[in-house]
Amino acid sequence: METQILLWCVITPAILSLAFVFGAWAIQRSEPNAWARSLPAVLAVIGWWVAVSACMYARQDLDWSALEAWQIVLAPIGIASLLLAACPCEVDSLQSASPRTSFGFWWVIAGLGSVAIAMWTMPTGDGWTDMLPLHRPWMASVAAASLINIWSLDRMRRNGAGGWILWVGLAGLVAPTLLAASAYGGLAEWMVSALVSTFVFAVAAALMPNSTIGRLFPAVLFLAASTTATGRFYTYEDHSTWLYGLILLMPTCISIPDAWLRERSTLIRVSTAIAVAVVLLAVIGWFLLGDSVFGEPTEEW
Amino acid sequence: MMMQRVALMLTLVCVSSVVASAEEKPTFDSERSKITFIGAKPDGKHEGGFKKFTAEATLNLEDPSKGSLKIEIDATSLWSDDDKLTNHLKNPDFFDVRKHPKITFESTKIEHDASQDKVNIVGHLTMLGKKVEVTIPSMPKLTEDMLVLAANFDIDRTKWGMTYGKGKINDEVAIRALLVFKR
Repeated sequence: METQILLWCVITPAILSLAFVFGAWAIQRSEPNAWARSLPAVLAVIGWWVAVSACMYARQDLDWSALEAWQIVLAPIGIASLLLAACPCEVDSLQSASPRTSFGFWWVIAGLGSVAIAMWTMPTGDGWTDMLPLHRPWMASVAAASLINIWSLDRMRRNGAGGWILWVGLAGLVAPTLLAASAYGGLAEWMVSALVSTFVFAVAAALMPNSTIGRLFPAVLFLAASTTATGRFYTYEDHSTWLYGLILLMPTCISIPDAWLRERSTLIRVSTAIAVAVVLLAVIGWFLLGDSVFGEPTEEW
Repeated sequence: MMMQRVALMLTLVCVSSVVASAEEKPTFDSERSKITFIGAKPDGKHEGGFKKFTAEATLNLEDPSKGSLKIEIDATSLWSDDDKLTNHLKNPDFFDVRKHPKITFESTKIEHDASQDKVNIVGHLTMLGKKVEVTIPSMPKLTEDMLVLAANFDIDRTKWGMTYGKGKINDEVAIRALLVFKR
Protein backbone atom coordinates (compact mmCIF):
# COMPACT_ATOMS: atom_id res chain seq x y z
CA MET A 1 0.00 0.00 0.00
CA GLU A 2 2.71 2.45 1.02
CA THR A 3 4.64 1.44 -2.10
CA GLN A 4 1.61 2.31 -4.25
CA ILE A 5 1.27 5.70 -2.57
CA LEU A 6 4.99 6.34 -3.02
CA LEU A 7 4.79 5.34 -6.68
CA TRP A 8 1.64 7.22 -7.71
CA CYS A 9 1.53 10.16 -5.30
CA VAL A 10 5.24 10.98 -5.08
CA ILE A 11 7.42 9.42 -7.80
CA THR A 12 5.04 9.70 -10.76
CA PRO A 13 4.06 13.37 -10.17
CA ALA A 14 7.73 14.22 -9.60
CA ILE A 15 8.85 12.57 -12.85
CA LEU A 16 6.02 14.11 -14.90
CA SER A 17 6.68 17.55 -13.42
CA LEU A 18 10.41 17.20 -14.07
CA ALA A 19 9.72 16.35 -17.71
CA PHE A 20 7.75 19.58 -18.12
CA VAL A 21 10.42 21.53 -16.23
CA PHE A 22 13.00 20.35 -18.78
CA GLY A 23 10.64 21.41 -21.56
CA ALA A 24 10.27 24.85 -19.98
CA TRP A 25 14.03 25.09 -19.52
CA ALA A 26 14.65 24.23 -23.18
CA ILE A 27 12.22 26.91 -24.34
CA GLN A 28 13.71 29.38 -21.89
CA ARG A 29 17.11 28.88 -23.54
CA SER A 30 15.74 29.49 -27.03
CA GLU A 31 15.15 32.91 -28.59
CA PRO A 32 12.86 34.85 -26.25
CA ASN A 33 9.86 36.46 -27.93
CA ALA A 34 6.41 37.32 -26.67
CA TRP A 35 5.05 33.84 -27.36
CA ALA A 36 8.08 31.95 -26.04
CA ARG A 37 8.03 34.08 -22.90
CA SER A 38 4.63 32.66 -21.85
CA LEU A 39 5.38 29.12 -22.93
CA PRO A 40 7.30 27.98 -19.80
CA ALA A 41 4.32 29.16 -17.72
CA VAL A 42 1.90 27.26 -19.96
CA LEU A 43 4.09 24.15 -19.74
CA ALA A 44 4.26 24.50 -15.95
CA VAL A 45 0.44 24.60 -15.68
CA ILE A 46 0.01 21.66 -18.06
CA GLY A 47 2.74 19.67 -16.29
CA TRP A 48 1.27 20.35 -12.85
CA TRP A 49 -2.22 19.45 -14.08
CA VAL A 50 -1.01 16.24 -15.76
CA ALA A 51 0.91 15.23 -12.62
CA VAL A 52 -2.06 15.59 -10.24
CA SER A 53 -4.48 14.08 -12.77
CA ALA A 54 -2.24 11.04 -13.26
CA CYS A 55 -2.21 10.42 -9.52
CA MET A 56 -5.98 10.80 -9.32
CA TYR A 57 -6.47 8.43 -12.24
CA ALA A 58 -4.15 5.81 -10.76
CA ARG A 59 -5.31 5.97 -7.16
CA GLN A 60 -9.04 6.66 -7.35
CA ASP A 61 -11.49 4.19 -8.80
CA LEU A 62 -12.88 6.84 -11.10
CA ASP A 63 -16.50 6.36 -12.02
CA TRP A 64 -16.81 8.84 -14.87
CA SER A 65 -20.58 8.98 -14.53
CA ALA A 66 -20.42 9.89 -10.85
CA LEU A 67 -17.32 11.94 -10.25
CA GLU A 68 -16.97 13.74 -6.92
CA ALA A 69 -17.05 17.55 -6.91
CA TRP A 70 -13.39 17.72 -5.86
CA GLN A 71 -12.46 15.58 -8.88
CA ILE A 72 -14.51 17.63 -11.37
CA VAL A 73 -13.09 20.91 -10.10
CA LEU A 74 -9.69 19.99 -11.50
CA ALA A 75 -11.08 20.88 -14.97
CA PRO A 76 -11.96 24.56 -14.24
CA ILE A 77 -8.73 24.88 -12.22
CA GLY A 78 -6.73 23.72 -15.24
CA ILE A 79 -8.57 25.89 -17.76
CA ALA A 80 -8.52 29.07 -15.66
CA SER A 81 -4.85 28.62 -14.74
CA LEU A 82 -3.90 27.91 -18.34
CA LEU A 83 -5.62 31.09 -19.53
CA LEU A 84 -3.89 33.11 -16.81
CA ALA A 85 -0.50 31.60 -17.67
CA ALA A 86 -0.95 32.02 -21.42
CA CYS A 87 -2.15 35.59 -21.19
CA PRO A 88 0.83 37.42 -22.76
CA CYS A 89 -0.35 40.68 -21.34
CA GLU A 90 -0.03 39.46 -17.80
CA VAL A 91 2.26 41.00 -15.21
CA ASP A 92 5.27 41.48 -17.45
CA SER A 93 3.41 43.94 -19.61
CA LEU A 94 1.93 45.84 -16.71
CA GLN A 95 4.49 48.49 -17.39
CA SER A 96 3.65 48.44 -21.11
CA ALA A 97 1.79 51.10 -22.99
CA SER A 98 -1.64 49.76 -22.13
CA PRO A 99 -1.36 48.47 -18.58
CA ARG A 100 -4.97 49.12 -17.67
CA THR A 101 -6.38 46.94 -20.47
CA SER A 102 -3.92 44.13 -19.83
CA PHE A 103 -4.39 44.21 -16.10
CA GLY A 104 -8.18 44.22 -16.43
CA PHE A 105 -8.24 41.28 -18.82
CA TRP A 106 -6.03 39.20 -16.52
CA TRP A 107 -8.27 39.94 -13.54
CA VAL A 108 -11.45 39.16 -15.46
CA ILE A 109 -10.06 35.67 -16.11
CA ALA A 110 -8.96 35.33 -12.47
CA GLY A 111 -12.40 36.44 -11.24
CA LEU A 112 -14.37 34.17 -13.56
CA GLY A 113 -12.03 31.28 -12.72
CA SER A 114 -12.51 31.82 -8.99
CA VAL A 115 -16.30 31.85 -9.32
CA ALA A 116 -16.30 28.74 -11.56
CA ILE A 117 -14.08 26.86 -9.13
CA ALA A 118 -16.24 27.91 -6.17
CA MET A 119 -19.33 26.62 -7.97
CA TRP A 120 -17.85 23.28 -9.02
CA THR A 121 -16.30 22.64 -5.61
CA MET A 122 -19.69 22.34 -3.93
CA PRO A 123 -20.75 18.71 -3.48
CA THR A 124 -24.20 17.99 -4.87
CA GLY A 125 -26.71 15.16 -4.67
CA ASP A 126 -29.39 13.90 -2.32
CA GLY A 127 -26.85 13.03 0.37
CA TRP A 128 -25.81 16.65 0.76
CA THR A 129 -29.19 18.32 1.27
CA ASP A 130 -28.50 18.92 4.98
CA MET A 131 -25.39 20.88 3.98
CA LEU A 132 -27.14 23.16 1.47
CA PRO A 133 -27.18 26.15 3.88
CA LEU A 134 -23.38 26.01 3.83
CA HIS A 135 -23.11 26.17 0.05
CA ARG A 136 -23.59 29.92 -0.40
CA PRO A 137 -21.17 31.07 2.32
CA TRP A 138 -18.58 28.53 1.17
CA MET A 139 -18.93 29.47 -2.48
CA ALA A 140 -18.39 33.11 -1.54
CA SER A 141 -15.45 32.14 0.70
CA VAL A 142 -13.71 30.04 -1.95
CA ALA A 143 -14.15 32.69 -4.66
CA ALA A 144 -13.09 35.54 -2.39
CA ALA A 145 -10.12 33.65 -0.91
CA SER A 146 -8.91 32.66 -4.38
CA LEU A 147 -9.02 36.26 -5.58
CA ILE A 148 -7.48 37.76 -2.43
CA ASN A 149 -4.67 35.18 -2.46
CA ILE A 150 -4.00 35.72 -6.18
CA TRP A 151 -3.90 39.48 -5.63
CA SER A 152 -1.55 39.11 -2.65
CA LEU A 153 0.89 36.80 -4.38
CA ASP A 154 0.75 38.80 -7.59
CA ARG A 155 1.71 41.88 -5.56
CA MET A 156 4.57 39.92 -3.96
CA ARG A 157 5.81 38.90 -7.38
CA ARG A 158 5.70 42.41 -8.71
CA ASN A 159 7.80 43.34 -5.70
CA GLY A 160 10.56 40.97 -6.81
CA ALA A 161 9.50 37.69 -5.19
CA GLY A 162 8.87 35.95 -8.56
CA GLY A 163 11.61 33.38 -7.97
CA TRP A 164 10.12 32.06 -4.73
CA ILE A 165 6.40 32.85 -5.05
CA LEU A 166 5.55 29.18 -5.58
CA TRP A 167 6.98 28.32 -2.16
CA VAL A 168 4.26 30.52 -0.63
CA GLY A 169 1.69 28.68 -2.74
CA LEU A 170 3.17 25.39 -1.56
CA ALA A 171 2.78 26.46 2.08
CA GLY A 172 -0.83 27.35 1.27
CA LEU A 173 -1.40 23.80 -0.01
CA VAL A 174 -0.08 22.14 3.16
CA ALA A 175 -2.92 23.41 5.36
CA PRO A 176 -5.78 21.97 3.19
CA THR A 177 -3.80 18.72 3.01
CA LEU A 178 -3.78 18.58 6.81
CA LEU A 179 -7.53 19.25 6.84
CA ALA A 180 -8.08 16.44 4.33
CA ALA A 181 -5.78 14.12 6.31
CA SER A 182 -7.95 14.62 9.40
CA ALA A 183 -10.97 12.95 7.74
CA TYR A 184 -10.48 11.77 4.18
CA GLY A 185 -7.39 9.70 3.38
CA GLY A 186 -8.04 9.38 -0.36
CA LEU A 187 -8.21 13.16 -0.78
CA ALA A 188 -5.13 13.69 1.40
CA GLU A 189 -2.98 11.26 -0.55
CA TRP A 190 -4.05 12.94 -3.80
CA MET A 191 -3.06 16.30 -2.31
CA VAL A 192 0.40 14.83 -1.71
CA SER A 193 0.79 14.61 -5.50
CA ALA A 194 -0.10 18.32 -5.79
CA LEU A 195 2.47 19.13 -3.08
CA VAL A 196 5.16 17.09 -4.85
CA SER A 197 4.43 18.64 -8.25
CA THR A 198 4.30 22.17 -6.83
CA PHE A 199 7.58 21.49 -5.02
CA VAL A 200 9.30 20.48 -8.28
CA PHE A 201 8.07 23.61 -10.08
CA ALA A 202 8.96 25.78 -7.07
CA VAL A 203 12.55 24.49 -7.21
CA ALA A 204 12.60 25.09 -10.98
CA ALA A 205 11.27 28.63 -10.59
CA ALA A 206 13.91 29.35 -7.96
CA LEU A 207 16.68 28.01 -10.20
CA MET A 208 15.34 29.94 -13.22
CA PRO A 209 14.21 33.26 -11.71
CA ASN A 210 13.86 34.85 -15.14
CA SER A 211 11.45 32.23 -16.39
CA THR A 212 7.66 32.49 -16.15
CA ILE A 213 7.26 29.16 -14.32
CA GLY A 214 6.13 31.11 -11.26
CA ARG A 215 2.90 31.94 -13.10
CA LEU A 216 1.71 28.52 -11.96
CA PHE A 217 0.75 30.10 -8.65
CA PRO A 218 -2.98 30.74 -9.46
CA ALA A 219 -3.47 26.99 -10.06
CA VAL A 220 -1.97 26.20 -6.66
CA LEU A 221 -4.11 28.85 -4.95
CA PHE A 222 -7.30 27.66 -6.70
CA LEU A 223 -6.64 24.09 -5.58
CA ALA A 224 -5.87 25.16 -2.01
CA ALA A 225 -9.16 27.07 -1.71
CA SER A 226 -11.24 24.34 -3.32
CA THR A 227 -9.68 21.59 -1.18
CA THR A 228 -10.35 23.59 1.97
CA ALA A 229 -14.03 23.65 1.02
CA THR A 230 -13.96 19.93 0.23
CA GLY A 231 -12.27 19.24 3.57
CA ARG A 232 -14.99 21.23 5.32
CA PHE A 233 -17.78 19.28 3.64
CA TYR A 234 -16.21 15.88 4.36
CA THR A 235 -15.40 16.44 8.01
CA TYR A 236 -17.95 15.73 10.68
CA GLU A 237 -15.96 17.69 13.25
CA ASP A 238 -16.84 21.23 14.29
CA HIS A 239 -13.73 23.24 13.57
CA SER A 240 -13.79 26.96 14.34
CA THR A 241 -14.62 29.48 11.62
CA TRP A 242 -11.35 31.33 12.25
CA LEU A 243 -9.44 28.10 11.54
CA TYR A 244 -11.07 27.74 8.13
CA GLY A 245 -10.44 31.43 7.50
CA LEU A 246 -6.77 30.98 8.34
CA ILE A 247 -6.45 27.93 6.07
CA LEU A 248 -8.18 29.76 3.20
CA LEU A 249 -6.11 32.93 3.52
CA MET A 250 -2.77 31.47 4.52
CA PRO A 251 -0.90 32.70 1.39
CA THR A 252 -2.22 36.21 2.02
CA CYS A 253 -1.16 35.99 5.69
CA ILE A 254 2.38 35.11 4.56
CA SER A 255 2.38 38.00 2.09
CA ILE A 256 1.39 40.67 4.65
CA PRO A 257 4.78 41.03 6.39
CA ASP A 258 6.43 40.82 2.98
CA ALA A 259 4.63 44.00 1.92
CA TRP A 260 6.58 45.90 4.59
CA LEU A 261 9.83 44.11 3.81
CA ARG A 262 9.74 44.54 0.04
CA GLU A 263 12.73 46.89 0.05
CA ARG A 264 14.80 44.48 2.14
CA SER A 265 17.09 41.70 0.91
CA THR A 266 15.69 38.44 -0.45
CA LEU A 267 17.23 36.59 2.51
CA ILE A 268 15.24 38.63 5.03
CA ARG A 269 12.05 38.38 3.00
CA VAL A 270 12.35 34.60 2.51
CA SER A 271 13.32 34.01 6.15
CA THR A 272 10.33 36.02 7.35
CA ALA A 273 7.96 34.18 4.99
CA ILE A 274 9.29 30.81 6.21
CA ALA A 275 8.91 31.84 9.86
CA VAL A 276 5.32 33.04 9.33
CA ALA A 277 4.42 29.89 7.35
CA VAL A 278 5.89 27.55 9.98
CA VAL A 279 4.06 29.30 12.83
CA LEU A 280 0.73 29.33 10.97
CA LEU A 281 1.05 25.70 9.88
CA ALA A 282 1.94 24.68 13.44
CA VAL A 283 -1.21 26.42 14.73
CA ILE A 284 -3.38 24.83 12.03
CA GLY A 285 -1.80 21.39 12.55
CA TRP A 286 -2.29 21.64 16.29
CA PHE A 287 -6.00 22.39 16.01
CA LEU A 288 -6.65 19.84 13.26
CA LEU A 289 -4.51 16.90 14.26
CA GLY A 290 -3.20 17.73 17.72
CA ASP A 291 -5.29 15.20 19.60
CA SER A 292 -4.46 12.44 17.09
CA VAL A 293 -0.74 13.10 17.05
CA PHE A 294 -0.18 13.96 20.70
CA GLY A 295 -3.12 12.19 22.33
CA GLU A 296 -4.04 8.54 22.69
CA PRO A 297 -3.31 6.88 19.29
CA THR A 298 -6.70 5.25 18.80
CA GLU A 299 -7.46 6.29 15.22
CA GLU A 300 -4.69 5.08 12.99
CA TRP A 301 -6.62 4.25 9.82
CA MET B 1 -74.44 -27.03 -8.49
CA MET B 2 -75.07 -25.36 -5.15
CA MET B 3 -73.30 -28.19 -3.32
CA GLN B 4 -70.28 -27.82 -5.62
CA ARG B 5 -70.00 -24.09 -4.81
CA VAL B 6 -70.15 -24.73 -1.06
CA ALA B 7 -67.46 -27.41 -1.37
CA LEU B 8 -65.21 -25.04 -3.34
CA MET B 9 -65.66 -22.29 -0.74
CA LEU B 10 -64.82 -24.70 2.08
CA THR B 11 -61.68 -25.89 0.25
CA LEU B 12 -60.48 -22.30 -0.29
CA VAL B 13 -60.99 -21.47 3.38
CA CYS B 14 -59.09 -24.60 4.42
CA VAL B 15 -56.18 -23.90 2.03
CA SER B 16 -55.84 -20.28 3.12
CA SER B 17 -55.82 -21.28 6.79
CA VAL B 18 -53.07 -23.84 6.11
CA VAL B 19 -51.00 -21.20 4.25
CA ALA B 20 -51.51 -18.75 7.09
CA SER B 21 -50.28 -21.21 9.65
CA ALA B 22 -47.22 -22.25 7.58
CA GLU B 23 -46.04 -18.73 6.75
CA GLU B 24 -45.62 -16.07 9.37
CA LYS B 25 -44.33 -12.51 9.39
CA PRO B 26 -42.91 -11.75 12.83
CA THR B 27 -42.48 -8.12 13.93
CA PHE B 28 -38.94 -6.75 14.07
CA ASP B 29 -37.74 -5.70 17.52
CA SER B 30 -35.24 -2.90 16.87
CA GLU B 31 -34.57 -2.38 20.59
CA ARG B 32 -33.08 -5.80 21.09
CA SER B 33 -31.42 -6.23 17.69
CA LYS B 34 -27.81 -5.37 16.95
CA ILE B 35 -25.51 -5.21 13.94
CA THR B 36 -21.84 -4.67 14.71
CA PHE B 37 -18.56 -5.17 12.89
CA ILE B 38 -14.93 -5.53 13.81
CA GLY B 39 -12.27 -4.19 11.49
CA ALA B 40 -8.79 -5.44 12.19
CA LYS B 41 -5.22 -4.71 11.24
CA PRO B 42 -2.06 -6.60 12.21
CA ASP B 43 -1.55 -4.55 15.37
CA GLY B 44 -5.08 -3.85 16.56
CA LYS B 45 -8.78 -3.74 15.90
CA HIS B 46 -11.78 -1.42 16.12
CA GLU B 47 -15.41 -2.17 16.79
CA GLY B 48 -18.28 -0.39 15.13
CA GLY B 49 -21.85 -0.87 14.09
CA PHE B 50 -25.09 0.73 13.00
CA LYS B 51 -27.65 2.32 15.32
CA LYS B 52 -30.57 2.31 12.87
CA PHE B 53 -31.73 -0.58 10.77
CA THR B 54 -34.90 -2.50 10.03
CA ALA B 55 -35.54 -6.12 9.10
CA GLU B 56 -38.41 -8.09 7.64
CA ALA B 57 -38.56 -11.84 7.95
CA THR B 58 -40.97 -14.38 6.59
CA LEU B 59 -41.02 -17.57 8.56
CA ASN B 60 -42.16 -20.86 7.16
CA LEU B 61 -42.32 -23.48 9.87
CA GLU B 62 -43.13 -26.35 7.59
CA ASP B 63 -40.42 -25.58 5.08
CA PRO B 64 -37.80 -23.14 6.43
CA SER B 65 -36.18 -22.89 3.01
CA LYS B 66 -39.27 -20.96 1.86
CA GLY B 67 -38.65 -18.20 4.37
CA SER B 68 -37.03 -14.87 3.55
CA LEU B 69 -35.08 -12.08 5.17
CA LYS B 70 -34.65 -8.46 4.19
CA ILE B 71 -32.50 -5.97 6.11
CA GLU B 72 -32.12 -2.24 5.48
CA ILE B 73 -29.36 -0.39 7.33
CA ASP B 74 -29.16 3.39 7.65
CA ALA B 75 -25.43 3.82 6.92
CA THR B 76 -25.46 7.35 8.36
CA SER B 77 -26.15 5.85 11.79
CA LEU B 78 -22.67 4.31 11.77
CA TRP B 79 -20.77 4.36 15.07
CA SER B 80 -17.37 3.14 16.21
CA ASP B 81 -15.26 3.03 19.34
CA ASP B 82 -13.47 6.25 18.32
CA ASP B 83 -15.06 9.52 17.19
CA LYS B 84 -12.35 10.37 14.66
CA LEU B 85 -12.60 6.88 13.23
CA THR B 86 -16.39 7.25 12.96
CA ASN B 87 -15.87 10.40 10.86
CA HIS B 88 -13.36 8.63 8.68
CA LEU B 89 -15.57 5.55 8.23
CA LYS B 90 -18.43 7.76 7.01
CA ASN B 91 -16.28 9.25 4.25
CA PRO B 92 -15.62 7.82 0.76
CA ASP B 93 -12.54 5.96 2.00
CA PHE B 94 -14.96 3.50 3.58
CA PHE B 95 -18.79 3.65 3.64
CA ASP B 96 -19.32 6.95 1.74
CA VAL B 97 -22.59 7.49 3.61
CA ARG B 98 -23.45 10.70 1.75
CA LYS B 99 -23.57 8.92 -1.58
CA HIS B 100 -24.72 5.54 -0.33
CA PRO B 101 -26.90 6.10 2.74
CA LYS B 102 -28.46 2.62 2.65
CA ILE B 103 -26.95 -0.83 3.00
CA THR B 104 -29.36 -3.63 2.18
CA PHE B 105 -29.47 -7.39 2.38
CA GLU B 106 -32.10 -9.41 0.59
CA SER B 107 -32.17 -13.19 0.80
CA THR B 108 -32.52 -15.23 -2.35
CA LYS B 109 -32.31 -18.69 -0.86
CA ILE B 110 -32.40 -20.26 2.59
CA GLU B 111 -30.60 -23.55 2.98
CA HIS B 112 -31.84 -25.54 5.94
CA ASP B 113 -29.75 -28.21 7.61
CA ALA B 114 -32.26 -30.02 9.82
CA SER B 115 -29.65 -32.27 11.42
CA GLN B 116 -27.72 -29.28 12.84
CA ASP B 117 -30.64 -26.90 13.31
CA LYS B 118 -28.75 -24.44 11.19
CA VAL B 119 -29.66 -22.27 8.21
CA ASN B 120 -27.49 -20.67 5.58
CA ILE B 121 -29.12 -17.48 4.39
CA VAL B 122 -27.89 -16.76 0.89
CA GLY B 123 -28.62 -13.33 -0.50
CA HIS B 124 -27.39 -10.07 -1.97
CA LEU B 125 -25.64 -7.54 0.22
CA THR B 126 -25.75 -4.16 -1.49
CA MET B 127 -23.20 -1.67 -0.22
CA LEU B 128 -21.50 1.29 -1.93
CA GLY B 129 -23.85 0.67 -4.87
CA LYS B 130 -22.50 -2.83 -5.48
CA LYS B 131 -24.56 -6.00 -5.11
CA VAL B 132 -22.53 -9.01 -3.97
CA GLU B 133 -23.81 -12.46 -3.03
CA VAL B 134 -23.02 -13.52 0.53
CA THR B 135 -23.91 -16.55 2.61
CA ILE B 136 -24.83 -15.89 6.21
CA PRO B 137 -24.69 -18.91 8.49
CA SER B 138 -27.20 -18.61 11.32
CA MET B 139 -28.56 -20.67 14.21
CA PRO B 140 -32.17 -19.52 14.54
CA LYS B 141 -33.91 -19.79 17.88
CA LEU B 142 -37.65 -20.03 17.79
CA THR B 143 -39.81 -19.76 20.89
CA GLU B 144 -43.52 -19.22 21.31
CA ASP B 145 -43.18 -15.46 21.33
CA MET B 146 -39.98 -14.69 19.45
CA LEU B 147 -37.58 -15.57 16.67
CA VAL B 148 -33.90 -14.82 17.17
CA LEU B 149 -31.44 -14.92 14.30
CA ALA B 150 -27.81 -14.74 15.39
CA ALA B 151 -25.01 -14.72 12.86
CA ASN B 152 -21.24 -14.36 13.03
CA PHE B 153 -19.53 -14.23 9.68
CA ASP B 154 -16.80 -12.45 7.71
CA ILE B 155 -17.05 -10.44 4.53
CA ASP B 156 -14.30 -9.28 2.20
CA ARG B 157 -14.78 -5.49 2.09
CA THR B 158 -12.81 -5.14 -1.16
CA LYS B 159 -15.60 -6.95 -3.05
CA TRP B 160 -17.65 -3.77 -2.64
CA GLY B 161 -14.74 -1.58 -3.72
CA MET B 162 -13.79 -0.60 -0.17
CA THR B 163 -10.07 -0.79 -0.82
CA TYR B 164 -8.73 2.05 1.32
CA GLY B 165 -5.81 0.89 3.49
CA LYS B 166 -5.51 -2.43 1.65
CA GLY B 167 -2.49 -4.25 3.00
CA LYS B 168 -2.55 -2.20 6.19
CA ILE B 169 -6.12 -2.93 7.25
CA ASN B 170 -7.40 -6.49 6.83
CA ASP B 171 -9.76 -7.12 3.92
CA GLU B 172 -11.86 -9.43 6.08
CA VAL B 173 -14.35 -7.69 8.36
CA ALA B 174 -16.12 -9.69 11.06
CA ILE B 175 -19.87 -9.08 11.19
CA ARG B 176 -21.96 -9.87 14.27
CA ALA B 177 -25.69 -9.67 13.78
CA LEU B 178 -28.46 -10.33 16.26
CA LEU B 179 -31.94 -9.92 14.86
CA VAL B 180 -34.88 -10.30 17.24
CA PHE B 181 -38.48 -10.64 16.00
CA LYS B 182 -41.68 -10.80 18.05
CA ARG B 183 -44.22 -13.42 16.99
